[in-house]
Amino acid sequence: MKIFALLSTILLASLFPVPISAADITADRAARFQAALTQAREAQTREALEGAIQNFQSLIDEGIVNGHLYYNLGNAYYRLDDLGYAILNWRRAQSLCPGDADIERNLAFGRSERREQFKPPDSQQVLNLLFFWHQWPATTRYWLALSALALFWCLLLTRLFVRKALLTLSSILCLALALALAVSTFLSFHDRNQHPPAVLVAPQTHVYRGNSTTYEEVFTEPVHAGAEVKIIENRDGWLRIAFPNGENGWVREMDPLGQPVIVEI
Amino acid sequence: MRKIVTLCLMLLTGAATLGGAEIRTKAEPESIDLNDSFQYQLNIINGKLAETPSLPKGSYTIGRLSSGFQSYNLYGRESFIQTYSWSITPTQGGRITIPAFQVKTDDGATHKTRAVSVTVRSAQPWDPRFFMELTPPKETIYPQQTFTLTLNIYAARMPGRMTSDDPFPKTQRGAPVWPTLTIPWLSGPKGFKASDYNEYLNALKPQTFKGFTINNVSGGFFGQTKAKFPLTRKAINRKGPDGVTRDYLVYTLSRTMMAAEFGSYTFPGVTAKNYILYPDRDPPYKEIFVCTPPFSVRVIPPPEENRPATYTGGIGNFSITTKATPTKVNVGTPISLEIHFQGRGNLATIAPLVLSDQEAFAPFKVYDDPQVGDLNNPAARKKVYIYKIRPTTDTVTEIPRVAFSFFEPVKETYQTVYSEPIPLSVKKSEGVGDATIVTQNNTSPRKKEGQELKSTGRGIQADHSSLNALVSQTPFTPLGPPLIWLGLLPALLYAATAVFVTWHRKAHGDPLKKRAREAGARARRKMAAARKAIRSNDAAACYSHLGACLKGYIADRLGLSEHGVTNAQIRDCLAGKDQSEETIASVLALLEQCDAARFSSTAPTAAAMQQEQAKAEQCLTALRKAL
Repeated sequence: MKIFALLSTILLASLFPVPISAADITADRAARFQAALTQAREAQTREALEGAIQNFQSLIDEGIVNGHLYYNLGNAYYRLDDLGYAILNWRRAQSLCPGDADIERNLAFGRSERREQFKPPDSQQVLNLLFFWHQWPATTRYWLALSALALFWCLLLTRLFVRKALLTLSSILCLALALALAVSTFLSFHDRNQHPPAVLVAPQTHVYRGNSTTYEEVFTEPVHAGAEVKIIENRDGWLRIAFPNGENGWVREMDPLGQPVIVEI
Repeated sequence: MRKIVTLCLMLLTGAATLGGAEIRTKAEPESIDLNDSFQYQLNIINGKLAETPSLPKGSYTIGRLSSGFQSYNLYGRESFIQTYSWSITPTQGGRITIPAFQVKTDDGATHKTRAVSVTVRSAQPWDPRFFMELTPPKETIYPQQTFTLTLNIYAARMPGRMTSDDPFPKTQRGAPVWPTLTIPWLSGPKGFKASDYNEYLNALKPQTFKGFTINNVSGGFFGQTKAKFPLTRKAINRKGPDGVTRDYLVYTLSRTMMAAEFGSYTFPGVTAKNYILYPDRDPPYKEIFVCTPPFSVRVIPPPEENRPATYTGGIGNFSITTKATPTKVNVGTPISLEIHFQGRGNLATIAPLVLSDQEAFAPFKVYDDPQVGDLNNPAARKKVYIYKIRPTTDTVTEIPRVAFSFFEPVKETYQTVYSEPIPLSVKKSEGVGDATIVTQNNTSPRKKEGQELKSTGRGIQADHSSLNALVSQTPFTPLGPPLIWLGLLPALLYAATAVFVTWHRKAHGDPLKKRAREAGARARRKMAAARKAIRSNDAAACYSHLGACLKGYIADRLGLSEHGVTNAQIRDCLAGKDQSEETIASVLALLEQCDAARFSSTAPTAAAMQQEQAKAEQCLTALRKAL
């Protein structure tokens, strides 16, 4: 009986989730947000844009985690010609607001403006074609997997009363779809945990074969800001990163002036 | 020899006859002097490690790792050993222990190694007649900054006629025996650049007869002996470390280095060991083992104070030149502006200048995303950035000078250098406004009627202005309410329904049970028919219904055939259900009376029929409770 009561409580709690509190919006924060928007919109100088960035960043530093705030910050960095930080913040916004059209549009635009375009290797392209759903956003796959699973149970439920071959076939298809999407989603989350995505933010980054400048460089030219990579290993202030084209190499975590070269999303 | 030792090891341990892997560690030699190295060996007998092990850190530096694999066939039984060997250099004297650590073999098993200790002989800071002084650099230096480490070796002069001789003993054959120096940083430590080590040693003019042995460097034509370095020497009179003034011979060794990478670095002390001549002593020499104290250096970034806006990370000494093509243009025509950086320093890490920030470039539209030129060759000490600029007005007469700042590590100040301005001829553009040319890359022709509009694809979307942006969102997590609602709840619902349907089908599928459940309703219907027959004074129908009501109820409840059931069967069944004799007797009597009344020649009165009907209802109530 107690277990039943507990389960009921959990189910009810999930049915009526606690609404997000609007207590985060204080007058001071609202004023700073508006000021940052105005500064970013009407900025004529770098100083003004830097002021807007500072305002947006201060709101984030206060613990506000919101995709649209990161989106605005990314826009401000883009106006400042800092493509690395722009793409970084748009990616953060995308992870918080998946499917937001404005974020997707700006991210695609920022990517098109990058100096280097890393083409995935042919084998990867074939895999992408075969497992095309793995390219969909992880949250989309997650929802689709759950929906397919729920449909599978509903079809099974109907099959208790109506025995039709079509129902059996449909339920098997739903289960297969749910499994394919669930495995794909799990792999994405696992990969994200193991190899966190990151963005190169330094204007130019030299990529070496090993964790020292004595090693050969991986590319003929330094990589420009905005390249999206995955972090494979961290060793003594050097990070081993994987590029979308299959290459990997080592970069410093910080440049000689103490500025970050690469930032995790 | 190594193979024999390994073989013996296997025979002694009997590892070859056992199935599982065995881990053994050892250090050779077990006793060394400070600044010397020992080999730490990890043997995996009859097994392989899943991954290359890493040693725990301690008061020692871990050198190069070498590994090997050997297999043996002893009396038809194959065995093998995997070996990892590290060169370890202790950083302090005393008992140094390499603690036990865990390794994982390829069969998934985890093994713990044995801790191994080595005794390291500590050096004395000085001897009254022999000591060393090292001039360290400043505690904090900048990258590209050079400094010279000077090692002075003081050896007290001998008295009398030997006063001008080097105060070191000789062998019986007359060969001089000078101290052996171990200078760990001489080859250029990590994070610093120094001249080529071999060239440096050759410049010290090594000999084969007399001089200091340094870092066990080999000499002779075939490298069969140790090279000896007669360092420059001079005589001085000074106080020794014990406070007594003596005449000393000073041998000096200098090494110039340049800081290359940021960080904190510790330079180990220099050790000297062997014998020196000692007057008034028998034998007239003494063994010494002395060491200078270690020192630390921090390589820090250039100061932020007074850092010019045109500083982009250059540390060293550079000059800057510019080149532009074409130099005769219209307003808006793109000009390729090459900026060449030359000089000594960190050319590779100099970031591009932000030309649009330089006031002199105000009449130009500058694209601050230059290409790196082909001359980007660190060996040539040259770096080129190629910018695209467009003049925005025809009043421009020159490409202005470009300012570039760098940090000069020798003077420890920022310096700004300028390129020469380049004369430029700019004409007004015809037909189109100047601003249009500069700000718009593609001028589209006038749109025809019915022509489909195409997206420019340029620019970013507007900012999000709603204050909802200040409300924290919960990052997506797969273990949330959706999983409960769509993943678990339908499954639970299905399970509950399936259990219910199974139970329901089991409960309602048996016709006997269904008949028993519906017995009461049927009995009530027959009782109603009997009442109707009483009202119409139809005795035959009344008694027929009453008999059928009781008999049918009993037959339905007990699963008997209604038409073939006899009074004897009813008696046995009711007795089997533990009914009282009184109930059984009244039921049977009523049934017999009903049979008799149906065929009686005299018609009973309505009152008699009602009395019988009341009795039948009492019996039915009793049977309902009982069955």
